[in-house]
Amino acid sequence: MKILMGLAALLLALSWQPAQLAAQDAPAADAPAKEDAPADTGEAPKADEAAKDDDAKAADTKAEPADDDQQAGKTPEPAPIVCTVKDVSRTVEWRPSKDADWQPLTDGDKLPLGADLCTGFRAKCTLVFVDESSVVEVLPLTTLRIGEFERQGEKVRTRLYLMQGGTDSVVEKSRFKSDFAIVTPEITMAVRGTNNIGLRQYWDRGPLVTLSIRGLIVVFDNRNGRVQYVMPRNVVTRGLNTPIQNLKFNSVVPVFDVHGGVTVAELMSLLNGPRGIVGPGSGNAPGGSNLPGGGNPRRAQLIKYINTHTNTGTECEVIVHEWEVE
Amino acid sequence: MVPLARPAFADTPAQSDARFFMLLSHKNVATMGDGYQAVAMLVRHEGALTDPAECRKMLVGRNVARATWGDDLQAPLPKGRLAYMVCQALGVKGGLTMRLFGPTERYCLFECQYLELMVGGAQYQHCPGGELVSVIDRADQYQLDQAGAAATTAKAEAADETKPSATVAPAAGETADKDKPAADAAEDKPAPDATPAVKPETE
Repeated sequence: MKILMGLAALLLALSWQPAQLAAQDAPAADAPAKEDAPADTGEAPKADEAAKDDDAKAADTKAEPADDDQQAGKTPEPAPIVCTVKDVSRTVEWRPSKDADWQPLTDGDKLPLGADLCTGFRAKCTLVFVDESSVVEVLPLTTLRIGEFERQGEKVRTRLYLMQGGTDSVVEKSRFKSDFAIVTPEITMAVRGTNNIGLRQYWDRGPLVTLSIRGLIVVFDNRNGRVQYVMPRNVVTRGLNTPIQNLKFNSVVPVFDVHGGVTVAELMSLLNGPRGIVGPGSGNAPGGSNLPGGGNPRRAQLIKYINTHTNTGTECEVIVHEWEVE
Repeated sequence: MVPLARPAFADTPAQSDARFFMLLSHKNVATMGDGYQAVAMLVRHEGALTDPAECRKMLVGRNVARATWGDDLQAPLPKGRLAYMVCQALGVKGGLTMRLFGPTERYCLFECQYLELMVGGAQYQHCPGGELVSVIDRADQYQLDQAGAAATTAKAEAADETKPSATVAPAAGETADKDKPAADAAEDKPAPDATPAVKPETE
């Protein structure tokens, strides 16, 4: 009996709190608007849009809810706004969270963290992230989730979960250091520099990573932790290629590539070279040669390229002209 | 036929093409209805989602699908049938065998594999939903590339056709262009007829 009485008192207290809040609010802010959680998350960015637009930092802070609402405990804390949508063509839909309903996406919409996106036939849209350095074009027939976006000091960590479809990303130099990566069911593609990166994840053929202009990206195989650096004109695909693919596209390298795919320890050993006391190892030494890369031209190119970009840090400004795509 | 296990939400009827492909990528096995709907978008170049039965009728009418495949829209979609529809939709003529004996499911699959639209396999294998989405994505890209290449060729041919007339007129020194005297053309002045011709339109 005491338990029942306690429950009844708790229910009364809970039902009294929204009524009190509604009385304090303006008459327009009524209960139906609060009941519809997805509508709230959709409306809040539009209200912000008129007020803001000068600073990227402001977007994060403005997306945070008021303290009163948090104390009331009625509406869940809305996720921070992480990107603005541009250039929507044809059918693109999104939902703020896994449990919300899908709704059409329009130009100028602001997407929160954890939003899901799907594009239809020949449909595209562009996501401009609030760190002012990352722009992602979402290609047709794509299912994508904005997985992580957080600022850690001067570094912005961005993770997009790409289940199916493709993206073209541009990660430019800005005042924040960018830790940008796209995670697919098979690979994780991370950025090392300023790039125009194409990534497509096919159900049947696996990932396809290309670097169109310049820079350096690194592809991790999620299953075995192998690493593959991608240079311009290289294409990274799934595991083992058929001989005809290797003949047709000699620049296609699988993620697990015995010549270029190395673990971190192997990479460090490779970069340091098989040096002895009297100097670099000879051609007979394991992995050693007078030439960088142990006589393997692709590995030599890779070492030269990695050295070039390592010296300039993550925001590379050195353009290797001989590898630029015209 | 025992229905295959698949996520419950994958069978939810989609309300737009974006959601159709999103749900399709979760299906273990695509159905013939899914195949008809997806290929119909490829044929019509638009993402309007229509009834599978109507799509089938349209595709059979255009010889993209075969009427002998039956009208069971819930039957699993074999890879050979998908390859046949893709080849017909894209107008792929194929190699010697396909040209001699006509398109068959088996050789269409080989052709799609050669064009890197599909991965290999047997023509009787069931096509998973994710593979159907990937194939449609690549087929549409192929279609756009072909259209782009054709447009570039047509533009180059048009430029080649206009080039001789443009070069001949000043070189001849005669009134090849009746509206433009050769003397004015040589001095790079606008033709006197040009100004009055424009004025009435603006007024």
